[in-house]
Amino acid sequence: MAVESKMRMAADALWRDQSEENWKRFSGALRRSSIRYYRIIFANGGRLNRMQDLTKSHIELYDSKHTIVTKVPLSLREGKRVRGATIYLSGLQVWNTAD
Amino acid sequence: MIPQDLKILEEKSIYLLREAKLRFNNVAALWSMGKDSTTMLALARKAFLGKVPFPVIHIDNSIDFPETYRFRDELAKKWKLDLIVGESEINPDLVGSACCGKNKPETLKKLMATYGFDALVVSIRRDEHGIRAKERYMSPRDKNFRWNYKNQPAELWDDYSSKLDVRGHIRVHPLLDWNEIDVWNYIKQEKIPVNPLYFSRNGYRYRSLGCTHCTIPLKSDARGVNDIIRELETTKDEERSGRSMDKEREYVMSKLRALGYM
Repeated sequence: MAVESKMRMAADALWRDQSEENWKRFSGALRRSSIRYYRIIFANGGRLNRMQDLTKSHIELYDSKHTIVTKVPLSLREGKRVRGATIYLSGLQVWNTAD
Repeated sequence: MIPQDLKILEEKSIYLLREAKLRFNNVAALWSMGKDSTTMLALARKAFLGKVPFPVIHIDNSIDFPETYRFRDELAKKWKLDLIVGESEINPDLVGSACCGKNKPETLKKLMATYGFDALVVSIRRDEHGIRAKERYMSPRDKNFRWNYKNQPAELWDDYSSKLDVRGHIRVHPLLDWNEIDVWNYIKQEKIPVNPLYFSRNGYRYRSLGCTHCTIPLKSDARGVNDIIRELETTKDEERSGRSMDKEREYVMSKLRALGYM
């Protein structure tokens, strides 16, 4: 199976279940994919106004030509506990734009 | 900046780091992977013959930048740091300054209780913020981490107070006299690795680093250390202008620091 398909499948799995196991699987697929940049999109269009918005925020992932490839959630769930999952994107570079 | 000035700053910082190691039984340093705390670790390596002789604490609230995590892991391996990662809980009811004032100090309190540290090396600078300008080189905190900035020991003729409150601790501030350009000049001089987020990409860079949700990038074309130094020599913007918590309301930083924020 192509590397990109595996990465998209891992991303889809994350939207269904943001478990640590799925994040580790996604992280492995990400390292082998063409994705180079990330951009965090916070809920409510701007800053993270409430920590509960963490679960509604997501991350856009781009390839080397800055074309969006896929989106993943920003959070990780461990039972009732919710935390950020940015550590699993280690190796990517932030892509800030004016809009 | 002439190198002689940097030499004086370096000597004072190294003196303070050695004093801290000598005076206290169990010292640790806080590391946010920013330029100041990384410079402090470089100074510690210089002070103690190439090795950071105390544990280095990262208070991780799990939403730092991916570049920051990578930088932490790579440098911790390269410099053989004794890294302690304190996982900070995310409290859904707290945002902005309340998040910084509660989540991070609470995690630090737990770590201090677990490891029994009696001194913490913190890389704050007087020029960063008005309330940080009131700090001492060795600053006592009570058992609840509270800082009484209206009643601090005098530090005349390099005579520092290292007297501990019962179950309290001392914050050691070796970079207190440095300013932002000093730090960047020292990074250039000593070739200290820095978090790549400080350098411009696509016309934006981060001047002061915090968590992803409270740190705003600034427009800049500074792609290297020399560019940053040139930019700082002409800018009129404050260093922490990209940190949202500083803008919430008046005196928020004073309140945060009184509550134990670093």
